[in-house]
Amino acid sequence: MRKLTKRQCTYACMFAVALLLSRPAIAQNGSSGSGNPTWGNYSWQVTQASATTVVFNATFNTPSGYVSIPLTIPSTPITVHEVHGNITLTVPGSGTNGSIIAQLIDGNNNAIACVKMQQSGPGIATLPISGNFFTPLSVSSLHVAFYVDLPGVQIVSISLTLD
Amino acid sequence: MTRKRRTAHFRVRLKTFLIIAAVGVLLCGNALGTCSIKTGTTKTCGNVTPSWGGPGTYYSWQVSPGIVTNLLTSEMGITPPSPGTTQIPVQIPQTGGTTVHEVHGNVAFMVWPPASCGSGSVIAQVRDQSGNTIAGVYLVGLSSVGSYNFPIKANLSKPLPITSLLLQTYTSQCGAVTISWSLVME
Repeated sequence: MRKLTKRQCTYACMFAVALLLSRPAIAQNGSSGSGNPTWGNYSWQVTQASATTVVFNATFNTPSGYVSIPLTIPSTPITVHEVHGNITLTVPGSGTNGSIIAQLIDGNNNAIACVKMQQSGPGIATLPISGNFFTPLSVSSLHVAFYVDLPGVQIVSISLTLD
Repeated sequence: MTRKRRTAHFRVRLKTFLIIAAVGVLLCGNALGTCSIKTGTTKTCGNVTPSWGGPGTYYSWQVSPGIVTNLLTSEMGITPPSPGTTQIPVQIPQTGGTTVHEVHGNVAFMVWPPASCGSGSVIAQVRDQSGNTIAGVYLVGLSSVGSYNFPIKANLSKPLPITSLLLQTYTSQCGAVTISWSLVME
């Protein structure tokens, strides 16, 4: 069997160290999903460490009315004392005006975050989200819900940390 | 009474009955608030074409309760002539009222073209039954046409017991505007 040279050994060690370092310091659980309904498409990801992060993106090509999309939480229940992050509404050049209700709701119908945003013509509107819950929420399930009634392409992006 | 007169009389009564029934259905629809469900769990709502404002003026609101939170969403579209101060009462689902410790969400304001007034301004407030302003904005000097989204966030050091809400708005400009609220109250 051929022996490794000193240089090859060095590279192998560096590669092993790099692999070790690339692992997250805090173990993360994750879940994700996507879909292509009649009104457009969406994708989402939920990651959990000591806090839970929800990332969601949806493109509405046509008005959807009220739609609800369930998310999977890797480890439940979680206790939510606080929420922070942002929600963005983008109307691309092909769109006209934007108007959406976007909300993150738990299994007990508690609205954790909700915005009703408007965008005049093509452009981007971003809103910060920050909420503290006097009575912490025990959350076993989550869903993201939208109401879109204006025609034209609208893109909604959600990034929320639940702690 | 001849058969001809009796038939004519019956037709008149039938028409009267149908008109009354139609008006009744319209009025009932208005009074009950034929709300379109926009947040999925609406418990109380209103959807009204008011007597003030110009053609197409409308407002709708709804409150969606959870175990812990109440979600208020509303939208009001006003066309000229501007009504000045408006007050829209909002019922909350809890019969015995609830307590608000914290509120977060946003208010959105949109000025539609053509706007001949130069700049837009609006005072919009969400008040409780005692007149406490839970959230409010005074937006002035906005460019004539466009949309504006502002975050709302507050912890109330003295929690408010609420039994009803009031959406109070003052608009004075001559263009068409839309004002929307979305508030999570807990």
